[in-house]
Amino acid sequence: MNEEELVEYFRAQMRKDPGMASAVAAIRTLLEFLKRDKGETILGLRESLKQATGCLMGEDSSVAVSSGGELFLRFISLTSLEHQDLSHCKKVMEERGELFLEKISMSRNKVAKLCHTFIKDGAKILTHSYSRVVLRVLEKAAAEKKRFSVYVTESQPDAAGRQMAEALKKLNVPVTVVLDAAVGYFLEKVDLVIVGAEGVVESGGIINKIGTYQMALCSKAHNKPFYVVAESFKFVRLYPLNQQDVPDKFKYKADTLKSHQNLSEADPIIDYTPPSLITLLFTDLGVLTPSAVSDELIKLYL
Amino acid sequence: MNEEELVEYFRAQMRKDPGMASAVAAIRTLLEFLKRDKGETILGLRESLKQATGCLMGEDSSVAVSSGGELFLRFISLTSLEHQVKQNTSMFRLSIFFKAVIHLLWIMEQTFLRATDLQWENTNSCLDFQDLSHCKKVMEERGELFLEKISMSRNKVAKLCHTFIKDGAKILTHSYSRVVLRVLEKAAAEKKRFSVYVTESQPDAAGRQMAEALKKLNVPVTVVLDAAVGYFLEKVDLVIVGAEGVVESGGIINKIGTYQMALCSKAHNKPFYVVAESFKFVRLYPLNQQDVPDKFKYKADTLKSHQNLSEADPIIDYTPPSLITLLFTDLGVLTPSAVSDELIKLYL
Repeated sequence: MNEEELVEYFRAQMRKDPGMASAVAAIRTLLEFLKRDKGETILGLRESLKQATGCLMGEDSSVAVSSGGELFLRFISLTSLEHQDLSHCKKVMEERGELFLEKISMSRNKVAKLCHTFIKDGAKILTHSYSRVVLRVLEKAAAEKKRFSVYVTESQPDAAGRQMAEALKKLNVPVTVVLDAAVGYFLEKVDLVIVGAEGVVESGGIINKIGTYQMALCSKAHNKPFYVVAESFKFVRLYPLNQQDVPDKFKYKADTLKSHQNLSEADPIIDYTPPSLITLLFTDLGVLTPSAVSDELIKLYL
Repeated sequence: MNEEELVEYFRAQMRKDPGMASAVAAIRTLLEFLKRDKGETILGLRESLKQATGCLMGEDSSVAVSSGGELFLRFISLTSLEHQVKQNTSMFRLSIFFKAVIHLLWIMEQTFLRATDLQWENTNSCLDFQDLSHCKKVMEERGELFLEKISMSRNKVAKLCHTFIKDGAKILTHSYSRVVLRVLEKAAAEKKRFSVYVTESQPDAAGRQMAEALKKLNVPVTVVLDAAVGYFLEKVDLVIVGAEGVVESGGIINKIGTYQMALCSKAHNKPFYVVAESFKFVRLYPLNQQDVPDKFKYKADTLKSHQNLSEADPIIDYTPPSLITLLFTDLGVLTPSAVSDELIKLYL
């Protein structure tokens, strides 16, 4: 399976189910790549899988694709590969891959089940941009007959917040779209803040759409709880200490990276929120404090 | 001069000089209104000036128009007593100013114990005029004087502030502010090298206008998203914003997004400077965002058209004084706590 087929399969997966996380689509693609691979050695297989992940990163530069790919690799190799021939090994790997895929397809529902209890009746929630996990959480809370209203930021430059508002209107949840600049203004009125994450880093901080960091700062100043909902395949082996430390390959869209000479001119699309500003993280591994994240990460990546 | 002519004159003033503050245009309009007014009593004049201010607020609902109008009214009415002096002695025009100071002190002593409305009653009771037109003429002169004073204020502010911009500084600013532009022009004229990050400031993208103006000054400028303020704050050295109004507590009312910029600067320990002319000082004391009156929060046309204002986007927010480092005004460089003292002196 060469690069073009890889990218084409990935795009097809994304098109087929827009509700699917891009990392899940990437993992399906890697599984398909594994099935079709004609390599002769395990090491060669590993190398080509890494290359394939890199190739998908060139298509969609989100942190989740990178972390998802790496976790897939580790999961499938976390088994005894002492077999006579390669095809047997590959078969075992494929089975593990399917298992992994099944596990992570359930993760969004697990997160929603944990989180919706924190939404009390009559709550006013503030959220940022379009996040399918947050949407799932709010769906579950609405299904539990809770009454709450939502403020969602418009989230320039792609106005993804409006998409979120549309989806929430379908659930009959009262929703207001606010400007990115109006977060400080509306924070007095809300009870809690829930955001998704594109990646969760070793320190327990998160990488998410630009604007999350100042939302977290303002919530801290107003003493409102700041909750993060993320699936476990988003945990990534990075330890940024400030905004600059996040690698450029995540900060800008894939096409921007290819076209722009001087990246400081371009608008970054993500920012880093330090763990001190986050109250709790809801993951399919459980409800974690930011400090507990590194323990979980170790368990995942061992 | 009826309402339509008033609004038309105001719009003409704004069109003529886009660099002029809307409050200055409003004050010119009120001065013109005063000249053309055909009322017969002082009290009637006062009422119609107040109505005129209200009418201009319906055209441009910014805080500065409201405060500028009120200050204009008070300034021209500080004429009553010295006019008596002028009648009794032969003086040069210039020395009216000094007499005004002396009588200002007298007035301050008087009004310390009374309500300020009594000023006008003093006017009535001390009036020894043959006719109203004399009084009006004095008021017009005072009005011209006031206008002249405030036209100089922006330059005074720039002169005070530019020294705080060090060579090699990175500055963050919000939206389009003519005062900040003037400050940066002065700093650039002093041959300082600095670079500017300006927020795009939705919903009207006024930040891009600011960036254009700065490019003409050959200042390196980057337009950033409103959401990217927290991201860029690590890189900058100081934050300078303008203000639409300065309130009694020393806080400011400014374009939406200023409050979270101030919060983030406090968190990053960067100095947050405000530049404002003194006619923007307003008699309000909001304790949080809700306390700011709706008439300022939304554009004039939104107020007229919308039924449910909580649906509309507010265009300003309130920044509490605890987040502001210093205020640069034509009355000097003030800390937020000093603002209320200055306000008292202005509004007496």
